[in-house]
Amino acid sequence: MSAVKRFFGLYALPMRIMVQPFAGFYAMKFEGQGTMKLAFFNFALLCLSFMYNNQYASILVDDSHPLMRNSVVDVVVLTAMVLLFSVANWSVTSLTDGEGRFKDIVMAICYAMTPLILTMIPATIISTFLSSDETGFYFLLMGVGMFYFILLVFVGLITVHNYGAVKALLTVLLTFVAILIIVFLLTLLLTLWQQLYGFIYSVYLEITFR
Amino acid sequence: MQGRYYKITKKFAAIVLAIVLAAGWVIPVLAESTPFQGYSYNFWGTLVPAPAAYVPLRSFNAAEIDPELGGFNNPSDLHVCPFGYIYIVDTGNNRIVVADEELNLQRVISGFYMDGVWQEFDRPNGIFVTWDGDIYIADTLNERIPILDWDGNFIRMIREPQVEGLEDGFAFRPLSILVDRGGRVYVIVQHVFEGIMNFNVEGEFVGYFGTIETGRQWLEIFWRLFMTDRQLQGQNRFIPTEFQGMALDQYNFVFTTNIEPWGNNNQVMRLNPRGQDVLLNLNDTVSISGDQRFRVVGFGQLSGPSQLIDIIARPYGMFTALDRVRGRLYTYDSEGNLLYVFSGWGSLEGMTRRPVAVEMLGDDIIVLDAHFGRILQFTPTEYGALINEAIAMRYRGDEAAAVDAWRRLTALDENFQLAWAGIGRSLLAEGDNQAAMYYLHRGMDMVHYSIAFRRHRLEVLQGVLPTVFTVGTGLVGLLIAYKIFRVVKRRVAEA
Repeated sequence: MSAVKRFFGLYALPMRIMVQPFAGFYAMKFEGQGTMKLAFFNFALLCLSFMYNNQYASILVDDSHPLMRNSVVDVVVLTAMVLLFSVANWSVTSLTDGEGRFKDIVMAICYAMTPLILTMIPATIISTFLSSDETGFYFLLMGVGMFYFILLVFVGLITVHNYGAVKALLTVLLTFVAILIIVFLLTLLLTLWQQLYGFIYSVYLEITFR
Repeated sequence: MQGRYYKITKKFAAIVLAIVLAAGWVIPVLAESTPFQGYSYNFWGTLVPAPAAYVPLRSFNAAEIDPELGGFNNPSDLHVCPFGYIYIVDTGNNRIVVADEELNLQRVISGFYMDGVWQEFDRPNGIFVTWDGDIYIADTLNERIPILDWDGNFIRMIREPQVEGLEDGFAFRPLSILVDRGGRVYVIVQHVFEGIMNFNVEGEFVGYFGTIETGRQWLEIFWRLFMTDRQLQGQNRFIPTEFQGMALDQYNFVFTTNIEPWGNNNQVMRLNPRGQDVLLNLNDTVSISGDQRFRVVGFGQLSGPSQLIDIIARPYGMFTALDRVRGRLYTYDSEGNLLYVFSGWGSLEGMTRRPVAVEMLGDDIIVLDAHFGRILQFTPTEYGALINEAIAMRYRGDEAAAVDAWRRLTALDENFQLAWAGIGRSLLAEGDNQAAMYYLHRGMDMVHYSIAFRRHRLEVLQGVLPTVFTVGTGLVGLLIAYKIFRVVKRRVAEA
């Protein structure tokens, strides 16, 4: 019983962030209440709810091909998105006087995921009881969760970096530019590496055929 | 120990060998020896293989109709008249060959007497024979459409209409002709982009019929904002593609095809008498444009989107379109579902090198191959005949009767989603909602699946709710009784 109690004691901060975002994120960063462990736990919960949604959402709300529903891909994509956004945001904000460390950014994003987790699973369960005229309820619930998540990430970034709203908005826009640059560089790296590999391989072939 | 493993291995090998041998016996029996693979597209637009719906029955060239005919030289059109005769427009030899179904030569039309003067054709390209037996011929390079009666006597002539808007050097070169049951004449004319030219019974020009949308190209419009007048003059004009083939269906509506450069728009139109497109397509992912998955560039002529150049309207709302690029024939039903694909590009029996025209001959389909100057006849297999039968019964509204055909189809081809949906729909009509849900899900018919699901949900609720309410009412009653009991007990204790 005490373990359960302790867990809910630990999980109090994500819950508090949902109702009092500014005070909650302040406590997370400046009062040292946030832990990386809980952030990863929250992220794992989000991955689980994405998997659940992917596998069990009604055919009427998600008519994608069954072979296209892949939980592993889900986790990889989510991880990549969080990492990419965090790295891009960190690289932008360290140039624009942001106070947040990389750890704080990841933590803020992960702590902001609670509304998404709390709406996605119920929405998925509800979807199995809906006919196609009523799928609006499902999409409303999912949309609310998504909207609140984005809002919380934004508030989290404001608090963590100690920014004003306008500056935070600008850095977020710059973050997307940075994401594009990172993706471009990664693609470039990949192709260059492939060419290098091809060159070495052909040299190897030439040598073995001599 | 060693011996026992050896024994087991030997036994296993024997079983495997037996299975392989048995399979070897079965496979040749199952495989239809067609040079092409039948296929269709499922709900997600993914290609799924299917049995061959039509197989080549025979092929014949001019010499097989009559040795004195020689060969066809660039034939361009094929027509089966209402009396069952096959008309072949032999463009290169400036003649029209008429044969019956048994390949007996009926006659050769190579000209006609007009005002006592013998007139010959110059590269004719199209022909149409009406129910009255009148023969309309697109005499292309002579820029005229002579109309002959059944015996080949000249009746009258349609020539270039005197209308404003035609360019000065315009040449009236008819390519394809259609006459509807009211006697209106539809003519596809070379380099006329306004639509199909429409003439009334007297042969007077009425107007253009049907238009092809060019579509908005936003990027092009954006760039044009920055162009100088000189640059604008140098740009290509956005002109619609030309109509390619026409066919008249049983309701006097005109099926047409036109080539779309990117293959993602419908290439088929069904025009009502006012010239509006009323073609129905209930699929979101599959457009009526032949192949959906194709190599975009490369490997000569077998790449790129399909180019549907001819079409036939079939009974019960079905139609079959002919693809020039890969020589395939695509058959759709009245709801725009792709039913089956057959034939292809090649020299084997049942393949074509340069197909130009397609027609129905009874239940069979005949295709004119201009490269070899021969005509191929395809006949439905059990699979194809079952699909035709089921579609016909559905079109008449007899879903229940179609179920038998659908069930046999699922046994032949488990991937045929239309069959599963067909069974599901009839079960839904019968009121077996739960079974209907299974079949409709397999057939990915989401509209009807939703209906079946809602009815099934209502049934379940109707079964469960009375119990829930009874038990609930009972519990609430007990709770109230308990409260009253406690109040009474306290009052008693106080007193």
